[in-house]
Amino acid sequence: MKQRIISTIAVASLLMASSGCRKYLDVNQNPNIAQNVTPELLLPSAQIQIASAVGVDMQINGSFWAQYWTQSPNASQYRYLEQYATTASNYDRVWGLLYNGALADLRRLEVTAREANRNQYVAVAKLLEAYTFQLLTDGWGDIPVAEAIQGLPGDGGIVSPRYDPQSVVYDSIISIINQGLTIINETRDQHFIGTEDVIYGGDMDLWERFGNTLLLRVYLRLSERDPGKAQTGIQQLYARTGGNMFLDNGEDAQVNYISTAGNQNPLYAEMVALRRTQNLVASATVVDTMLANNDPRVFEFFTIVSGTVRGLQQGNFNSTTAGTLSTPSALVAGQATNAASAEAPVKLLTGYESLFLQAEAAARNWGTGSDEDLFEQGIVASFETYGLTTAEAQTYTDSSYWGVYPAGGSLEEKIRHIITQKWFSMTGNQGFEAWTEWRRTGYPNIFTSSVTSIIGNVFPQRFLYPNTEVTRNANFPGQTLITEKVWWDVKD
Amino acid sequence: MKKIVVLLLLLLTGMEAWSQARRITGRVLDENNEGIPGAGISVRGTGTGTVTDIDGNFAVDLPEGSNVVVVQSIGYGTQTITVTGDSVTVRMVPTARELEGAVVTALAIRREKREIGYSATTLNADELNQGNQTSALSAIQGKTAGVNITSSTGGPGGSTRIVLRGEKSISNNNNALIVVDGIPINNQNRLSGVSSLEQLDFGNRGNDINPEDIESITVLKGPAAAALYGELAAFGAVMITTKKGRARTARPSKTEITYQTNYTLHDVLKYPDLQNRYGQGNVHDVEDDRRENFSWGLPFDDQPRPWGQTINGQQRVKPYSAQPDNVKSFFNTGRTWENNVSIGSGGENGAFYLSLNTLNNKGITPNTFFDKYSIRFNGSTQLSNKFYTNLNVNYLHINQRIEASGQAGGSVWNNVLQTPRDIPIHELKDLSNPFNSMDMIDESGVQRYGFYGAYTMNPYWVAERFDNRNRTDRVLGSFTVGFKPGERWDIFNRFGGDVIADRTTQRTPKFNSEPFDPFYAGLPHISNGGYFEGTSNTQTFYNDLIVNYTQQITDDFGVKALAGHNVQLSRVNTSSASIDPEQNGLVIPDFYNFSNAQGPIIATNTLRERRSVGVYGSAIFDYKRTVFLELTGRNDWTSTLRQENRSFFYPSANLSWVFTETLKNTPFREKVLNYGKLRAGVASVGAGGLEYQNNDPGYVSTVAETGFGSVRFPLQYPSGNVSGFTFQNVYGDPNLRPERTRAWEAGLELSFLRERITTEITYYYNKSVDQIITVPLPPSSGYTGRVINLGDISNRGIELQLRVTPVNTATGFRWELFGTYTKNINRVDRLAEGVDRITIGGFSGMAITAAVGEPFGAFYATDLRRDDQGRVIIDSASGLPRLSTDLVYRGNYQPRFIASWGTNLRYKGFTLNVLFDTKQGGVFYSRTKDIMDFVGTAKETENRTPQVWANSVYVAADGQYVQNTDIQYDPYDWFTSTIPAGQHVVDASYVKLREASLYYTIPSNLLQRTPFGSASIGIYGNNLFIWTAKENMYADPEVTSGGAGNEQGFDFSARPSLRNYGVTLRVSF
Repeated sequence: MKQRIISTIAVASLLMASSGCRKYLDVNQNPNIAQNVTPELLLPSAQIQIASAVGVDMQINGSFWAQYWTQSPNASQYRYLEQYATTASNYDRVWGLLYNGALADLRRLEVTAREANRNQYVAVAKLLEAYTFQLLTDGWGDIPVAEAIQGLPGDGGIVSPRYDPQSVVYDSIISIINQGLTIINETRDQHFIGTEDVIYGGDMDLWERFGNTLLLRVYLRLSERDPGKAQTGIQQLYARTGGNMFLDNGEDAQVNYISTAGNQNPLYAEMVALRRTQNLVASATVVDTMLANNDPRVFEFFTIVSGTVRGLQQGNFNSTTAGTLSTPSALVAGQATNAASAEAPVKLLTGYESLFLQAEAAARNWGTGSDEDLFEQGIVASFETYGLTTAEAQTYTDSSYWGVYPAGGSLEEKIRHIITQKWFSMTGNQGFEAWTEWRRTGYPNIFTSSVTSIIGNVFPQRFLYPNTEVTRNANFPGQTLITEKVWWDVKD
Repeated sequence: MKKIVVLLLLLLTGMEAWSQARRITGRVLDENNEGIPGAGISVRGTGTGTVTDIDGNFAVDLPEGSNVVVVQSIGYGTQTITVTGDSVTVRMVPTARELEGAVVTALAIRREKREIGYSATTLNADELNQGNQTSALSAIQGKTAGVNITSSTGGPGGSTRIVLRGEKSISNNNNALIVVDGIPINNQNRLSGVSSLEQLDFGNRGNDINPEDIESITVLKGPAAAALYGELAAFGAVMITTKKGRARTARPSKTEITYQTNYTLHDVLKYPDLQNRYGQGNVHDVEDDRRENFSWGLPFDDQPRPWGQTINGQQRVKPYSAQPDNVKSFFNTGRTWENNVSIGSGGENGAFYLSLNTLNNKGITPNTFFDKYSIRFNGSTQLSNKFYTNLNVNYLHINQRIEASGQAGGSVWNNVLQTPRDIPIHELKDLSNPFNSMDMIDESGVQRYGFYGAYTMNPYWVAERFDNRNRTDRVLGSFTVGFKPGERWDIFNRFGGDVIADRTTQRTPKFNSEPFDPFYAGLPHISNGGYFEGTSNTQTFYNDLIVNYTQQITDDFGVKALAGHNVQLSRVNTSSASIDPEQNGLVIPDFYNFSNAQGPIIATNTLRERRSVGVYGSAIFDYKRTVFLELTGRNDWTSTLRQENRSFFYPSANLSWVFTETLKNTPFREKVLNYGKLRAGVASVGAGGLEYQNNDPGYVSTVAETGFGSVRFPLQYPSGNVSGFTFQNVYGDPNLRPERTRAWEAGLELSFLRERITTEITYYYNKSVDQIITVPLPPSSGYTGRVINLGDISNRGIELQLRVTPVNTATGFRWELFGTYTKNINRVDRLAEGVDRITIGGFSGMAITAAVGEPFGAFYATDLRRDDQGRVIIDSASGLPRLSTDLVYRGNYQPRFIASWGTNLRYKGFTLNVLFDTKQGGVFYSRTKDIMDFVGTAKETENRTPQVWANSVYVAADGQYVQNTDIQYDPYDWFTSTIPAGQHVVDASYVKLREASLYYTIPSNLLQRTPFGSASIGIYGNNLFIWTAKENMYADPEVTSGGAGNEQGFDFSARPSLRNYGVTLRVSF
């Protein structure tokens, strides 16, 4: 009898273990993460991550190398940028924000939006994807596109994506923009995107103009390497849009921030976390040029010390006689001790940029319109964006050297004026784009190599590939030098 | 698995029918005439038998023709009695501890040592507590081979890592399973820092158990020993047995009350070596810079010189001379007072043990403390002839405050280490003195600091105002109901629980202090202030239902079989909220409440749950109690793997042969080789991975992190909130399988010369395959990592223990020597394809890794660049070494060997214990060195004349390396800006005087007219002295910022370890 009881217990235990416990053991679904999300949640996630990349690492690198800003002698955070001594790990964070942050979320956005038949999200995802790939390829050159973002076994399981040559990357970007624009036109009136779109609040007309402007920027980037392709593409673009479908003054693609902790401009948040150390000070390169040219914007982009703006010679952080220097202003989020910096926007693509791009297209005769008018409209847009009046802009375009368009000059003179003027307007607010356009055109041609450069009298031409690719990607093609130009950069 | 169960069932049913019998009763007594419970009684030639009750009583039926009973009890020699009457009293004779002692094996089953075929060391209470350590786990250090213990602080609080036979897993923390009275307990590490670079180590939970409650600890080193624990056993087990109610005393009284009090003092075990030639300043900038944390100033001239700020026209003056004891003078002498009362009693139907323990500590750093209160009740009752119950309950309350380590704003040590060599640190203590203040309000209402340093903060102020506390309430225990239906059966169910409520708070003060002195202008001390509060509720439940069956089948052949069923559940629920000082901040200073935040507080909560079910069985066959063969099997089903993979089976087998039994009654056995045992075991165990590791990615609220700051959702726009979710960056392989460890071991145990020399030697090998690791992915794949099964780690080694008693006289003089030696060779054999190393700790520039072909814990760091001949390549302009662009191998944290040696002397009530231990080889990273080099306080910065780098070359114009004989570098440049992380990896070898104590037991005849049954007094010390490698002028290599985890050898300005010494008094009534 006893044995029977014991046997029964043992057998019962065994049965319980093999079948009855299945439910007991089914507790391995992580309750701390969400399993399903809607497009409304993914779109702002991608936008904010792009803005954090553009607004911090790309802004700082770009604004140093576009000679807007330089390292303060009182601190040391960005000395390596002035020494031209960047290392692979300096770029881990920004590369990750764009790839496993923004692009991964944009891919999920496309999937979830398609499932929900909400095609405008797909369109915006495409445009932002193209924008992100252009940032990446302009910074690093060859990058993975075709095989990128397919790590999950269900997506292809590609854990070491191949790198595409920059020429192919540019073709892909053009194609992705066109896909996005096509979808907008097909589905403009359905399933509106709402305020979760932190760039345009769901305004598809503005997104269309964003797409067209981006396409113009992409083609113009090829102006030196493949002018034929650039010209054909731009002419097709104008033919399609009639030249009236670009971003205008006041239509900046930008992300706004507020003073609430965690929702502050990311550059300001970065400085707060660095205990408000003021690493960034004005560079004499831009400051002296603007002052000499009676450009009132210099007082907006920088703080005023003793009634003027004082910049430091580029890279001269060893100077012990620097005295009090101007810093980037709160309007460009660069003043660590001014809480207004928290509310500066991050600008992705601006109205004045659009106007200068159109001016260049017109000057080259690839686009339509008056290049002189577009140039002046661009200046007005820049002035107005930073709180100056149209009248002040008028005075500037009438009298100052860089404000008067050389309408009768050569194409090169016109390009020089347009790009230099674009450089002024992007001071501290589109640093990466300004540095990139300098690489394409060589303008402004007034840069001075950093005095603390450890590689001699040269200029940085690219970002180094991040450690996370160098050490993890089996198909990584090899690290490059900071002085090696990217594919489209053929002009000296 | 089913086969094993069927086999066991077959075995169990092979019983005989009863026959006509005569019933006898009896009692089994120990050397003190106390009843021995649980002694085995078997009737020779029949296979019938029984077990004694709590008082040693038994009753057994003798079949016709049988009159010989065999009485066995662990720790006693076997007695064979011929029974003539109806009752019998059996007096047992204890056997020598080393030979035949009881071993608590897996599931808390007591076995005679001779029965087991694997290495297991048992330490009794006397051995454990001879140094009066506050951590029972640290008290094992040096007392057995095969164990690698690291005690980070060496005193109350802090973590103790205990690794048996080498690291086996990359994702698990490799700590041994801690089992108390049969129930595995939570041994989680309470690390509350942001990272190991800013660590708050509140200790690991295995250290909570009161050492005074422990009767013995058995260390089950290998998988063969622990196989019955299945999934939990991969890293071996430390079996803790707490005291029971049996008062084994010669006195007739059955209730014993014991009171013990210890008073311990603490100071820092090892201070870094400091230079005493140069003081505050920077000869390359402002020579005499009163603001500096640099000691790169002018040489000392002993002339009066003002220092610190000018406040209201006043400034302090002191001679410009070294303060040799500066760092030392900052710390207090720590004090711990420990009180322990225990009451034990046994009666007709039960026994109990009740203990109360208090430990009150004031730490060496001002304002830190560690208080622990423990109540334990262990009770057992005999409900009827057939049922019995045991209840063990332990309640613990721990309250502590510690300082942050590393580079945290609240790191006291970091600020102390940067004090210039001439600044008298003890004069900074009075915080009401304006010259020392950090946040005074001046007459115009402006907050100002008068402290000398513009780049560091007053460490006394930091110690006072940065306030990190943890409060833990914990109940753990077990409840057993047993049923003994007959002589052969013992069926019991044991339910165990461990419930922990834990609360951590961190206060960061808010201040915005401008200096008084215009010279300091532009260098304010600013903090937004912050507050963190986190709670965690941890529940672990563990239930075993076990059926035991014992049968002596023939005179020569016996079997003990066991079958069991196990259910486990663990749930960890944490929630925390914080006002982040780097992004948010306090509105009102010193008011630490979430209503006082400048912006939204960040709140998180997580639930982690895992469950498992197991069935297991074991059978031990013995032949003439000379040869023992044990076979075990266990099958687990775990929740952490998906259904198809969650079932896994672990077999083990071990064999023990007491070969000296064959020499019985020979003079050789009596006089030369008293005891000899050969043993061997093999086992396979596995670990199922962590919760949710095989999950697909999901979505989490987006935090866009840049280098230091971040933007986080929801965005609280005036027009309405916007939420954002991001796809996770790490995904799990849904097909994850358990990690597997396969192991074998073989050993020999010998005793010579009437037990004057006993020794034990073991060789083992284990290989862990199918590591569950997170392989880093390039972000261009869209992900940063995936969790897969890939990677092998192997360990092989030798363990040696030796105990010699050179003197043992009739007068009671006994001198004992013992030593242990452990050599473990660890190697990471394989990782995922294309993955050379996986980082388990460190920071950028210095990674602690699992690297293919190297031992676990390999340090990779930026270091000097060298040519083919190993010569250092220098920059021909500056004379400074050039640095490697990649991280290079700089050694690993595995010691080459671990050894200990000790001695005990006993004479007429005096006992002297001394224990040394050592780890030789291995390296550790020292940020203590890094920061002291940087600020110029380290001894090695004393030579400041420009010099030629020894054995260096430079690259000539033609690209050839040319021996450098004349290009000099400036040590200032080297130490303040060039020196790479790899130069801070130093030899971790040490020898420690681990324990020393002297006790005196007052002779009982002197106590006859007192209420005391016994009394003893003593002095003791632990972690008393350290001798380190010559190049280690910085820290105790045992300190670590990684707690008890895999990030070892990481002195990231970790809290210094303690030297402890004190007096003790123990009386019993």
